[in-house]
Amino acid sequence: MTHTMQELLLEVKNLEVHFFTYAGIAKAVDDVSFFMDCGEMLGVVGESGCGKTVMARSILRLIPDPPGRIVGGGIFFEGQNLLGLSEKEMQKVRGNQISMIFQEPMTSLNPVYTVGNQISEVIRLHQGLNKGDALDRCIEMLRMVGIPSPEMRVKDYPFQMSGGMRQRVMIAMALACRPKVILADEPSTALDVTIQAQILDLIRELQKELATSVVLITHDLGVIAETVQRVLVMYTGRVVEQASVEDLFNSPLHPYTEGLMRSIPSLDGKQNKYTERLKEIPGIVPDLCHLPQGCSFSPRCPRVMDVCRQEGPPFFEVWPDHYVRCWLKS
Amino acid sequence: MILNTSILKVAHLKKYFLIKGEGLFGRRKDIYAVDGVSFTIDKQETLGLVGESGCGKTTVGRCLLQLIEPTSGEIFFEGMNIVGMSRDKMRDLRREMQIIFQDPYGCLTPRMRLSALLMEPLEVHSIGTRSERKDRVAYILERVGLRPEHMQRYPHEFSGGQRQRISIARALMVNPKLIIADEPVSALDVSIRAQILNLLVELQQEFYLAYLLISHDLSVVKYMCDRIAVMYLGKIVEMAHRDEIYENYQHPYTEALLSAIPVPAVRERRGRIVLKGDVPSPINPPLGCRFHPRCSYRVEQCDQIEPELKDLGDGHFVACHLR
Amino acid sequence: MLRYILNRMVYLIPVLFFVSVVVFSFMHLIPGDPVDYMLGFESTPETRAALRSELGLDKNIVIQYLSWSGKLLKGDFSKSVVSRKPVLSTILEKLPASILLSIAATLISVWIALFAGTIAGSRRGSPIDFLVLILALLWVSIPSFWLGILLIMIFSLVFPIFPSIGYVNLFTDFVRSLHHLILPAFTLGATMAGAVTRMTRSEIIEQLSKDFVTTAWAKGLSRRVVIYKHVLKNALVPVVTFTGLQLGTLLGGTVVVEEIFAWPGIGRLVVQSIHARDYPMVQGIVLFIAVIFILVNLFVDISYAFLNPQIRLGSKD
Repeated sequence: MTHTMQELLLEVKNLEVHFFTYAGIAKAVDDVSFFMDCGEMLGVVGESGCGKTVMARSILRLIPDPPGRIVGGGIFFEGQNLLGLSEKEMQKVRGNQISMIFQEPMTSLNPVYTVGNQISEVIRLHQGLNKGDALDRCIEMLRMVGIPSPEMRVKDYPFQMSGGMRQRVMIAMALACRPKVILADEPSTALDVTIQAQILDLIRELQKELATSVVLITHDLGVIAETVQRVLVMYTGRVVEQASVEDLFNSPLHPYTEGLMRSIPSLDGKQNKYTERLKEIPGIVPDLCHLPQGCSFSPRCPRVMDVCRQEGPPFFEVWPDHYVRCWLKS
Repeated sequence: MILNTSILKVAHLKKYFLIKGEGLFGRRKDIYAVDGVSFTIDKQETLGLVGESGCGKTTVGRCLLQLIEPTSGEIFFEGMNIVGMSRDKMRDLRREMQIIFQDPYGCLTPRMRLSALLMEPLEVHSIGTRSERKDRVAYILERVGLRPEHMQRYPHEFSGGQRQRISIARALMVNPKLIIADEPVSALDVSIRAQILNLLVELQQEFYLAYLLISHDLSVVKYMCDRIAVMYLGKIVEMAHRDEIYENYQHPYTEALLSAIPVPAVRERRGRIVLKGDVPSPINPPLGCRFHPRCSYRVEQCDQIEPELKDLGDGHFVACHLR
Repeated sequence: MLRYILNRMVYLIPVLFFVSVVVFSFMHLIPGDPVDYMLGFESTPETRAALRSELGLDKNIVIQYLSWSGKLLKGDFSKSVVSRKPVLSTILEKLPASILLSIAATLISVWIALFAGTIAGSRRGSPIDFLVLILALLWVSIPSFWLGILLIMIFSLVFPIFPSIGYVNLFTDFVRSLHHLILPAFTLGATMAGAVTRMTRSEIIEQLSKDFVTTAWAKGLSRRVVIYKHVLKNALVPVVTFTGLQLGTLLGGTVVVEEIFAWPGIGRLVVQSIHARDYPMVQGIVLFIAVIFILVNLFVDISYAFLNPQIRLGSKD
């Protein structure tokens, strides 16, 4: 595999992931494309059902089949299409070149094996170290993620640790083989606010230190603003806006993005219930099996036009590196 | 205050959970969930109870409704002490105090249709005639933003936001004076939260409600509340009017909490205070000030003497040796 | 850990007491006079009185219980009225055969069941899953006497591979012992195999949906490691309980199989003793089996601690 200067680290092209259920076919990921370069921190923001988790899991091909299936598109990692790899080849990528961190630290670790066992496992699998060396590396990783007395903690079971500690263990496990990409799916959402700050700081530090690329998935716009460099906004399986984090917050283009930002009560300033009403987005997120015709946001959009209800808008560049999927900007 | 405008007054509320040790040889563990909490709520006021896991805010809410019995302390509802009240009298009082829970999925009986769910409170408290009840249900249903055709549906046929509206409707049925909202929007999607918050504000005006808003989300609390109490490990560490808390916080924990919240705006990465260590467990609270192990401002007496809640004037209370 | 074991052992005392009271009551709950049943109606009043006095039936009930349980604690289970030999030594003579049969049955069925259940659970909905489910249902439904006779017909008469009756001590002749053991062990284990298979399968299915399994996949582990290292250990706890309980039951419930295969174990002994109206023997056996069952349960409880570290170390506050 030869690398060229133009080759991006990760490129997703027109990804389609469908779930085949009794209620119908849910297009969980619908024509999603994006790219990521080395050392970048990319954010993916959206609410439940927007497809961000499915998209992340598709990159590692962790979609359970049935009921889900990747039906189209390509996922190119260092130029190679991951969708074309055999399961065995894919296993060499997982945990090794591309790792994932999950949302629920309480349940994402195996309760009957020690933390040391679980981290060493991935080290030995991908790097062929013997037990002793793997354990040393394991302790080093725990130290790197800020766990005190790591030599003692390797022998702990997950239930002996707090949520914040367990999430650090997950991060250590994900970084153990020095992957090039980390997919972090809501890594701090299930944690208390002060612990959340610790974990996000840790991810930022490690990302810089190890020059890993991180895809940070979250529903929290605050986390996006403070942590990432570029953002994808997703809604019902599609990317509706893509921009640098400054551009997104300073001049959001998609009505959904605007709506999200305005509906969050701000900590700065004097906004409270007496001064103004929160600008809500009316209606509910539609059922993925029964999406409206045309633009899927049209039933809730304050600036909807006739064309929006008939045809789905294309995804195009409005300003340099600022893309949006909306008829208003065409 | 000369006029008695308070609807709820809590005095030195304590709740300890005594956990027996395992088997015959285990040691007993006591959880000091709530350890001396006092506050008042005025009519049509919203008090926010804020803190992280283990701080005791949910337990306080449960104690208020006598869903759990307090270990000690007093709770005065409209002047009457409800701790130790007889079950019959408490039953009547339950009409005045209602609760909305965090999980809109778990708190609705899955086998009851919406019409039955909403009728139930009226039937239980024997309010009104059959036709009066039907009218009331229809009225409240519309007020919370649901439609008559929803009446025959089961809970699983509604979205998260709609289920929360149902919970609110159910709470409103008996015309309460106080509603305890325990994390009312945490489990909802961001775009739905604003809808529910707006609804709660409207209803407060219309039905003359007081709220106790229990939440970990400081931006929601800032929007909704008149006064805020910050809890840590079973105690209130700071309590003040909303603007005072956000602009003139006095307690180091309040500072850290505010600093930790990610703000959806791009600006210079401010010097954030990241607390070290884990959120502690209420089983073995530290001696002295409970926050001292994680506090960067601590002085000598912090690990020996527990600070009392001091009145700084203007209704701003703080429990810290530095103030 | 030690504390956990001690806790469990303390519970033994009231349970054993209760069991002894129940077993003791058998003698007195039977309608009619037990002595009459034992000796028959042709016996003379003197013989009857002698037996009654020997068995202590002429004394106050509480005293009877106390002296009976007192003797038990010393290991005296009284004598058989048929053979005049001590009950306990007769039981202990026949015990090895039953133990061998029960353990063999358990081992065979558990190995098969764990394997089949794991394959079925990990390939839910596939033809293999379907096949395993049907087999498990069959195993559970087939009555052991029918299966035993069928197996004898096929494997002893039509294809004379295995002997149909007889028992050889394991230590006397290992190979011949196994040869005689296979058919009865299979028969006895069949029902258990069916139940354990279904239980393993549903546990595996449940564990597969857990978050930590996704983490395991995301680490790049192979299918074999994910299922047999990560999932199986978590699925084992309820399976171990069930197996333990079944083993306890087997030790007492081997009557049918022992009869069919003329296996000289406790089951056969109890049938013979019932036919012979040998009450002290029956009582002794029942008590013995109850105690074994309770002890097996204790071991199962303790084995939990090895499988589930949370029980061993106590959960975090």
